[in-house]
Amino acid sequence: MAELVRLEDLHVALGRPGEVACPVLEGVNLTVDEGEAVALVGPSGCGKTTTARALCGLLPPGAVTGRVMWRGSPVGAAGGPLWREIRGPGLALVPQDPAAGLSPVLRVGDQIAETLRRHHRCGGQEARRRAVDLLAETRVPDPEGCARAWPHQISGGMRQRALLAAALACDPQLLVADEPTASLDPTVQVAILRLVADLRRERGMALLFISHDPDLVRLMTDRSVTMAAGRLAGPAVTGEPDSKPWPPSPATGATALEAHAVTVAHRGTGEPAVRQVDLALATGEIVGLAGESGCGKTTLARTLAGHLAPTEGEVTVAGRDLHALAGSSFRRARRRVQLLFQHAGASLDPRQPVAVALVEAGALPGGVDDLLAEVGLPGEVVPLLPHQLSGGQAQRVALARCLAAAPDVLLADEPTSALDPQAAERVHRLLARLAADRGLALLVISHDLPGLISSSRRVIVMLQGVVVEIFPTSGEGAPVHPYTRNLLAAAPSRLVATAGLWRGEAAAVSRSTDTVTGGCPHAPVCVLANERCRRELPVLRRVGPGWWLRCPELEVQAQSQFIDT
Amino acid sequence: MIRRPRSLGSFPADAGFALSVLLVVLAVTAPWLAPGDPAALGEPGEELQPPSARHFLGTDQLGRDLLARLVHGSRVSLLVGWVSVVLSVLAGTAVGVSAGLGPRWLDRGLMIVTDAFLAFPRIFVVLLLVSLSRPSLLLVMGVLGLTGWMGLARLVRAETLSLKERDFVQAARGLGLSPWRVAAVHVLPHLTGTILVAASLRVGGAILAESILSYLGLGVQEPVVSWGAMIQQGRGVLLDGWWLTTFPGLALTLTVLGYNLLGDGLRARFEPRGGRRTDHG
Repeated sequence: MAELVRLEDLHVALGRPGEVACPVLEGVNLTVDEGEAVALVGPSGCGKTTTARALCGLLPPGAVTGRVMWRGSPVGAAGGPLWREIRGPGLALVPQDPAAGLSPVLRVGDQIAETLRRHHRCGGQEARRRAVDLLAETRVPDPEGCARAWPHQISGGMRQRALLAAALACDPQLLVADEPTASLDPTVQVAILRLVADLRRERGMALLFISHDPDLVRLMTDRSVTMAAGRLAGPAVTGEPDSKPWPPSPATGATALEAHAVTVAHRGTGEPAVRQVDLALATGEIVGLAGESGCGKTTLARTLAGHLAPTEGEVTVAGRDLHALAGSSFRRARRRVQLLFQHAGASLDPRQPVAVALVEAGALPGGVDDLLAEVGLPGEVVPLLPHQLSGGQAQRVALARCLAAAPDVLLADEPTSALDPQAAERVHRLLARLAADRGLALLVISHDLPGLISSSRRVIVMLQGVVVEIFPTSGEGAPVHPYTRNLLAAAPSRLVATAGLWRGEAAAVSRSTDTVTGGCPHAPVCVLANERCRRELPVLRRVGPGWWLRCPELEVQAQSQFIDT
Repeated sequence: MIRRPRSLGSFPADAGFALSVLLVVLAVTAPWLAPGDPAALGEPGEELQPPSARHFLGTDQLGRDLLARLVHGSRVSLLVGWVSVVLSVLAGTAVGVSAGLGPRWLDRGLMIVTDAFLAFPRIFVVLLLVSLSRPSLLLVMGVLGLTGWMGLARLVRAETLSLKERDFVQAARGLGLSPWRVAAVHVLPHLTGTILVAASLRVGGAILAESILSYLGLGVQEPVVSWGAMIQQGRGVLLDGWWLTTFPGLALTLTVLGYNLLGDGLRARFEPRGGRRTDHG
C-alpha cells in the first residue's frame, strides 16, 4: 500500500507569546498508509490530540518543527495553500469536543454544506440536500430539522454526528477521528463506529483513530501506536487500577434537594425537554442519572442548579422553593447546589488563574492548596490558566471550585465521558470519597448505565425527558423497564462480545426516533406497548423498596421480585 | 516561533501602532516641534507659496507656515478623536452590557433607544446640535461622542449575550456571585478585545467627522487650527495652491489608516491563546 501521510520527527511546543513554550510533542514519527486503520492510544494528556492537530495542520506554524508529508511530499507550514487542498478531500478531522467544533452562528446544515461548496463546487441547493443526506447517514433521527437547527439547539450527541457528517462530506482519504464517540451514549457510539467502519470498507478510506477504549481500538483498527508523555512509546502500558474497594455507602441523612413535577420546556420550540420529574437527593447519597444523549439529563441538572427555570413544578433546596427566591437569597440558595459541567474546561473563565477562581468561589486564600490536594492536584497548578491545564486537570479544578462553595448537593454532568477507563475509575472514586467525607448529595449523570450501577446507590433512568425507572443498586431484583434493559444490553463491552450486533444483523439498536407527544416515550419501539400507553403517559409507580417504574405492563413482574423478601 | 514581545505580531499592525504613537508624540510636542507659530502671518509677498526650503510645506493665503499649522492641527484632531471615542465607548459599553445581562424589559427598552438613535443619520444630528449653539471644541467632542455609541452598544450587547451562555459565565452565576461581579469579572474583561478594536477603529472615524464639521465651518474656530478647517481654507485655491489641501488630507488619511491598522493589531494581541482566533475559551 502506498504511504498516505507521514509525520517526521515532529516536535511541538505550545505557549503564550513572550513566555517559554512548553514542549508537548518530542519527536513523533508516524506513518499511515492508504486504506489503513491506525489507532493512537495513550493516557489523557500524552499528546494524542496534539498529534492529530499537527497532522491536520491546525497548530500555530511556529509551534511545530519537523515535517508532515502527504503522499511523499512535504506539505509545508500550517495555513499554507497546500493544506487547503488536502483538508476536506484529503484528510478530515472529527474533533473530540462537539461543543467547540461547530460555529455557533451557522446552521448545522450550512456548516456541512460549506465544506461541500468549497471543495466540490456544487451549488447551494445541492450542497444543502447533500448535507441532509449526510446527516441521515450518520443516523440523525430528523436530518432535515437538524440541518435547519443552530448548534445550541441540538444535543452533544447530535453535534458530534453533525461533525462526523461534515468530515465525511468530501469523501476524505484519511479520517482523523479524535475520540469521536467518547461523549456519546453506547447505542449511538456503536452506530457511528459501525458507520465509520462501513465507510472505510466501501471507500478504502484510511483511519487514524484516537481512543482509550481497547475494545474499540481492536475492532476499528489494524494496528495501534501507543503514546506516552509526548512520545511514541512501545507496547501499551496498562494503568494499574487502584485496588482499594469503593467506599461503602454511608447512611443517608436529610433531604438536601427535591424536585416536584419539574417540567422544563425548550425556550425556542416550547417542547418539553424534561417532563414531570420527581426526585429527592439525601446528604451523603450517590444517585445515578442515566439515559441517551438528548434525553434531558443536562437540562434537568441545569434546572436543579438554578441555571434554567422550570416551566412547571418546583425545585426545593433546604426546604425552600429555589426558583421562587430572588436576588441575594436566590444566590445564597443556589450556591448550595453546585454543577460540575460536562465540559469542565469551558466552565472555567479563560482569564482566571486557578487560585483566583477558587478564591472567588469561596475558598480561603490559605486553603487553596488543601482544596487542590483534596481533588488530587499538585500545588503547581495554582498560577495556571485554564488553557494550560489538561482536560483531566481542568475537570479537577472545576470540581475544587464546586467544593469551594461548600455545597450540599453536587451534580456531576457526564464527569467521565471523555476519560479513559482508568481515569474514569479514579474520578468515580474521587467523587464517591468527597460525597462520603463532606456528606454531599451527589447526582452523577452518565450514559454508562453499568458504571452507574456499580458506583451509585440508586439509578434514575430517563428517556426523552421522562423518568421511566428508578431502582436501588444494592438490593434484590434487576431493572425491568424494557428501555433500561436495552441500555444495559447496549453497553460497548457487551456489544463487542456480541459479534452479531456488530455485523448489523437485525435492528439491534432500537431507537425511538419520533418525538412522543402524549404517550410513553418508549411506546413506538416497545413490544409491550398497547393503545393506552401510546396515548397517555403511564404513572410512575412504586413497585418495591426504593423502586419506581413507569410501565403498567411490567408492574406485576417487578413487584414479584419482592414477594419472597 | 520568534517572539517579539514589543510587537503586535505583523507588519501592518506594527505600522499602525507606529503611526498612532507618532501622532501622539506630534500632538504633545507640537509647540516645540512646529517651525514657528501657526497663527503668525508671513512677511508681505510670502502668501500662497509652494513648498520650499524655507517653508517645507508652503504657506497659505495669509502667509502662515503650513507645516506649523499641520503639526498644531494634530492636537485638535487627536483630542477630538480620543475624547469623543472614550465618551461613546463608555456609553456604548454601559448600554450594551446592561442590555445583554439585564432583564428582558431593560434589553428591549435600551435596544429601542439605540435603534431610535441609529434611525437618525449621524451627520444631520451632529449638524443640528452644533448649529443650534456657538461652535466650540467641547461641543464637537460631546456631540460626536453622544452620537457614536450605538454601533458599539449593539456589538457589546451581542458579545455579552453570547458570553452569557458560555459555561464559565453560567458557572460563575452558579456560585451565587452578584450580577455586578459576574459583569465586572467574567464578562467585561472578555469584551476588552472587542471594545479596543472597535474604539481604535472609531478614533479614525471621529477624527474624520471633526474634519467634516470644521470643513463645513461648524467645528473649531480660528485661531484654533484643525485639519478639516485647513482643507476648507484651501478649497478655494485648489488649483493654485494644491499643497493647502493635499497635506492636511494626507495627514488625515495616514491617521485614519494608522488607527485602523492599530485596531486590527490590537485584536490579535488581546485574544487569549497567543492571538490566534479560535472557538475555544
